[in-house]
Amino acid sequence: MIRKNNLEILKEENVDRIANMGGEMWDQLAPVFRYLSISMISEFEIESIKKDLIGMAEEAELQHISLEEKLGIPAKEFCEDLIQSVRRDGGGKSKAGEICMVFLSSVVRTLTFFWVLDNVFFGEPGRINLFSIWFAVILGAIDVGALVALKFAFDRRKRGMIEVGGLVLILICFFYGGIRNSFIVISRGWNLFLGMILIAATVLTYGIQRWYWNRQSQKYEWK
Amino acid sequence: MDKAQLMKGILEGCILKIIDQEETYGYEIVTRLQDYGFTDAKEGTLYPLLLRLEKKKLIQGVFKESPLGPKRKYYTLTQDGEMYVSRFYQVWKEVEASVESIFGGR
Repeated sequence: MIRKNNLEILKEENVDRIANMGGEMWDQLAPVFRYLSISMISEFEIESIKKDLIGMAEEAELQHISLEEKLGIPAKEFCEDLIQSVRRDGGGKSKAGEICMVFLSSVVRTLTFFWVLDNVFFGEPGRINLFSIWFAVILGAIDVGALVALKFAFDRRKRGMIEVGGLVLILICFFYGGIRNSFIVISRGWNLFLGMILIAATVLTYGIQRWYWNRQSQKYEWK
Repeated sequence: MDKAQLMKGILEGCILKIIDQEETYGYEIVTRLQDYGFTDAKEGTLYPLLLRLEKKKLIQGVFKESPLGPKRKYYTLTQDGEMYVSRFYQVWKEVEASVESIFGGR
């Protein structure tokens, strides 16, 4: 059973609380989140800050005041001061590593998926579809893009629509695109070896991500 | 006279002292600071300071149920925080004495 890491748990908690928030307050909070998300500070720190801000926004809602009234300063000024303060304390160092980890994890996972599809479901062992490699890189880039600019990551409905839309597009490309024509044919032995490498890499990247985010979570009071 | 620059170093020590007196949360800290004369203190300016103090392990924040409804982060001082507060006050007295002797000699 695949267990969620602490970053995923925190993100889900934030998304659930936002879902119960009034539209007006969300409209005030969303630009703050967007600003934070495109800043180069650690992902866990961003989610931890979001949790605190959601709490402030919930209190502001109950007090019938705006988020800016609650903060006492303009939201943009608040974001700039906060990001500056975090970066001054070394909060941006791990971002590049996190981006690489997300990209590699996504590429490996997608390549494994296509290998399993080709070998188990479509009975085409030994044929490496170059489209799969291209597609894996594109999906990896999309995941990185989502990490850096999470415009829709905390809007469940939009995120769901984009995910479903993406899946439909993938299926259409897969079954009806004429792009499945470029292959590299390898021997059965090499194909099995490749499969073992991909599956091992998928398990390894899953383990590394889980270890990394759970380790990051120890720096913050997030529960 | 740029008051903000002067306030930067002082505010952290004062926040820690307020937290030292009792377990408290952001809005209450702001109210107490304003009562003590720090009228420019706002939750938005306080939050980055609290974040920094937490990272330095001088305070510890814990989410608890609040009477208002949503969970709230309550802060307490750590052992390092207690040492920092006494050291801060020591330094403050030294600086105050030096400034007083310069202006007092006018």
